[in-house]
Amino acid sequence: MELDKQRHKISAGKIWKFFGGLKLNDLKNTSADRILDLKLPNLITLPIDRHLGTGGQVLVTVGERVKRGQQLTAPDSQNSNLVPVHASTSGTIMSIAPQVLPHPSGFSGECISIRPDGLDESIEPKPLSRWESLDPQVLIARIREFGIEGLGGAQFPTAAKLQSALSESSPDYRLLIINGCECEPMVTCDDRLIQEKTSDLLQGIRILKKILNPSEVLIAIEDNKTEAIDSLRAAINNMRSSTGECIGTLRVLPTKYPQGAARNLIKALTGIEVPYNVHTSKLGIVVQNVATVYAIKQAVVDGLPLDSRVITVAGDSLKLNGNIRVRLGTSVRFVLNNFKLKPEFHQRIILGGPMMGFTLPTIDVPITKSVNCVIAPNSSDLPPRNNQHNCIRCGRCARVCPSRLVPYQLYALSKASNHAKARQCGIADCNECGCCAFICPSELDLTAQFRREHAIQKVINELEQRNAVAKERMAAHEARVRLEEEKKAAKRAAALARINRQKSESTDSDKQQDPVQNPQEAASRQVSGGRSAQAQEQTELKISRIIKAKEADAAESMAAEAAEQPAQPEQSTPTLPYNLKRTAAPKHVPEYHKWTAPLKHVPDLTLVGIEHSELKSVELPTKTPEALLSTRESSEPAKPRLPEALKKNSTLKHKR
Amino acid sequence: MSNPKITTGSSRQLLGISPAPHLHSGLKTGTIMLITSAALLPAWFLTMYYYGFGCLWQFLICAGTALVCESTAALLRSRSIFDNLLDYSFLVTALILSLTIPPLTPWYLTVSLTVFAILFVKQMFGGLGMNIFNPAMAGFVFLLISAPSVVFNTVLTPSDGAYQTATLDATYEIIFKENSPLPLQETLKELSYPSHVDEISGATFLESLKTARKAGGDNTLVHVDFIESNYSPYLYLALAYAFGGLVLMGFRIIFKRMVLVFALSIIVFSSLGKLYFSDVVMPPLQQFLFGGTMIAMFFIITDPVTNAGTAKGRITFSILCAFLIVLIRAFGSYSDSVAFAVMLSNAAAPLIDVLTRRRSFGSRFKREG
Ligand code: SF4
Ligand code: SF4
Repeated sequence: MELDKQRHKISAGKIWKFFGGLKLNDLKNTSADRILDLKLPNLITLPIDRHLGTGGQVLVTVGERVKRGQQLTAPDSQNSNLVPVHASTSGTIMSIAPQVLPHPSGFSGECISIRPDGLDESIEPKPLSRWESLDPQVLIARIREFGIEGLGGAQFPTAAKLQSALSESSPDYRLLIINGCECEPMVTCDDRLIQEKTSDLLQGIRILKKILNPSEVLIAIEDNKTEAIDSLRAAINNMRSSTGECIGTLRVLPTKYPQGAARNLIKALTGIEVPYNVHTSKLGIVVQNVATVYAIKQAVVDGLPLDSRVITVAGDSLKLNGNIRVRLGTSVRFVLNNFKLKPEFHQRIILGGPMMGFTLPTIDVPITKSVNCVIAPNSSDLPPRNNQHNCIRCGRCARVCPSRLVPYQLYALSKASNHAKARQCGIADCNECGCCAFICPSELDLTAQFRREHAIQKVINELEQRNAVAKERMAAHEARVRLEEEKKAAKRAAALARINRQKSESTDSDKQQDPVQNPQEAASRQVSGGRSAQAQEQTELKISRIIKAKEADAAESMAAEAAEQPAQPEQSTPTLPYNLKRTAAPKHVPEYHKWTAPLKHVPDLTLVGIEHSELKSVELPTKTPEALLSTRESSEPAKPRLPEALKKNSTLKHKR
Repeated sequence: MSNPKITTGSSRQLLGISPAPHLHSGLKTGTIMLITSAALLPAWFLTMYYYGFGCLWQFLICAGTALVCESTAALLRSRSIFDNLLDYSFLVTALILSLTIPPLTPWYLTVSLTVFAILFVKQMFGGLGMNIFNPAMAGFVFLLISAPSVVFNTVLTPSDGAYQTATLDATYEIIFKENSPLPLQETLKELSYPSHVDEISGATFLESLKTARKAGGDNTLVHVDFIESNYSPYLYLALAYAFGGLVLMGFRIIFKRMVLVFALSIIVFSSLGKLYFSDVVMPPLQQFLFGGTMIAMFFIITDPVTNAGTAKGRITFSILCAFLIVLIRAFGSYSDSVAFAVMLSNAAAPLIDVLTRRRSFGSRFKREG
């Protein structure tokens, strides 16, 4: 009933309000600039790490000549979340080696570099003719094979999203939302795409409709993009009048940042708040960015893999601003050079919009599918931040947070390294939209702190998972040991009972034939009584056999134990010894956090600016014995590293 | 190394690195505090007109002491003095203090209460933003508790043209040279109530109410007409505060709903009180115009620092504060209750914060659609 009401409201065009958010200055002065094609760069760098998975393969070798659209990698076939990489122009493979990635900390990853030959030859396009009659699975496979991922910024594989919506949601109500909000200031690439490729977009939507068979298609667009709205509306009406097909309804939303974030958009369009730990596609709600829809159309109808994307290049340090279509893998430097960068002192280059984008430590990085904007601001355009002051608890941040968090509280907790509490207060719900830091009068770097906190939380999660696994193993091991001991005890008891029984039996028989009770005495009389001596011999044999059996038993169990001990490290990860229970407790247990294992696994944190000391309150329960064990486990492997580190330091000092 | 990393250290020199977001709203703490101070100015000048120049001296003492205290605190905490002062919060504290304490308070008391307010109440808790209690109110309570007789002797009755009587010189003599404030107090009182001086026992209306209440008499002793000249200063002062409050609302510095709810609760609680305890509770209008209700409504309970955090919390906070004001005024033993009510609510703010925790995103989520 309620469901029906909700659906009715949705189709009636009700627009909800999502909590928080900001009304920002548009700064969209490039929305009238046509999308131009950037000329071919002299180097193409395609990151492949995230496209390979564990079992993926690179299909080309260094020196090989490739054509535009040629598939370069084959992803792990087990993992349907991975898509292949395609060459974005023709040329020779220069290298397959680690290169710097577009990442705020300048991480590097495996990349394929192509030197373009300028001919831009492409392989034969493979359009799917009569796609209307094809099975949705075929279309999804096509979307995956042609490397389509979310172009809105999250770079989530489109095929996986569609697949999960198809298989996990009920078919009786599905909602397809086309996201043309583009709420970030300065970015206009989606706006331009809607204006220029309207009919292609509608084609793409038809493909998606064919796959999902949604009950409702909503095309969301913010009211500051008047031209895009006009062209879309005209195209939809056109289609309706010419073919009678209603492609979907246009929803013009009031401009508000961050409306383009999927959950906020869903809230605005449907009134449903999808929690951050639930995939929207599982509810049958699929949100696709317009650029993705365009790429889907190209893949299916034109048979072209995703090898370029539209980006906005803006900022006052550039002589030119505008929208361009770049080949994936073009370096940011090449783009900036073409837009005539006049760098100022400490020029910032921002990848992404001004609210969520990050500054690049180096501009020799490729443009990937997730980049929608490159900004080169000068200090009057986007003034750099001043000093931070104390938080005055004005509550502005809490009023604008679209995730309904209380940022100043989270900030304090995170600063105090109170990670458990931060998690309780919902740090996981923060989508780093930047609203809180934008509004904060004390100019605190709230969002940056939350980013850092997210990284720490990730480490803690991993740690906890490891601990849980270790604990499980420990418990299993203890149970096994206990079982064996019980078995042993039972055997021993049985053996003892047998001995006693036999003893008493034999003495009974002795008694019958011989009054002497002591078997030794009986043995000494062997000579005299043949029969009794024989009986005596038999009992002795029996006893010795039993004793032997017992000894063998014990030896066996010891052997088993011995076999078990070396076997354990095999079962577990080599860093976690499990026989710790038998070793003496290390004296530094209370301070285990100083040398905990996680540090070994996240050397990268220093690059994000995380101090190792921030990890100190990685909380491990310390009350239960298992917990004590687990803390020892984590402290143990790090122990040998300490002297090494010290040694290094001392040698350094010596050198100086 | 199979996976060489590029460190940001080398490239940071070439490219600027800053965290997202790269935009800022432009409203900064210092600006907020300056606007707040400016919004207090009309009321401050009016106070000078109705109470004489004592107010000016008090402000100078407060501001000077606060400046020194803030700088000392900054030095002790090895922060930049300049940065510490640039948030201008000391200015707001000094202004509010000069408006709340009696205009003729001897200088040494003013200095010590400011030191208490800034060093003990504010900086000892960690500086701006960390203090639990409103520094100005804490300073005032400090004075009330430690020197009640001085307070009693130094409050003035507002009267038209008091600035002519309580001149710079006269007030200087009293504040710094420890001349007796009583003659001036008497003069102003006569000026204010030319006809029925004897009916009013204390210097202020609230004071006399309290005395009457203690004596068991009816406190509705005088019919108060705020248009009439001897009570009109209260009305004009209230209007001046309201004007400042509106300015703040215009700049979106204070939270409108909170102010509205506060006003409404005062009306509701005092009308209810009037119904049941008619001899001790003042009617709504008097609740607003006498004492510190107006300044509290716009400038003190809206102090972000000592408040609850979320919108819901703030509204709860203002209801609680209004309730306490009405309650303590009726049954307390001090003449005005605003400072106590505010401090009690401050103390309750963390609890309110816990009780009004907001639901998390999507917690109402059901499987639908
Ligand atoms: S906006 Fe800034 S100053 Fe205000 S409460 Fe949030 S963190 Fe504190
Ligand atoms: S960055 Fe996180 S905490 Fe800040 S407003 Fe956005 S979601 Fe809320």
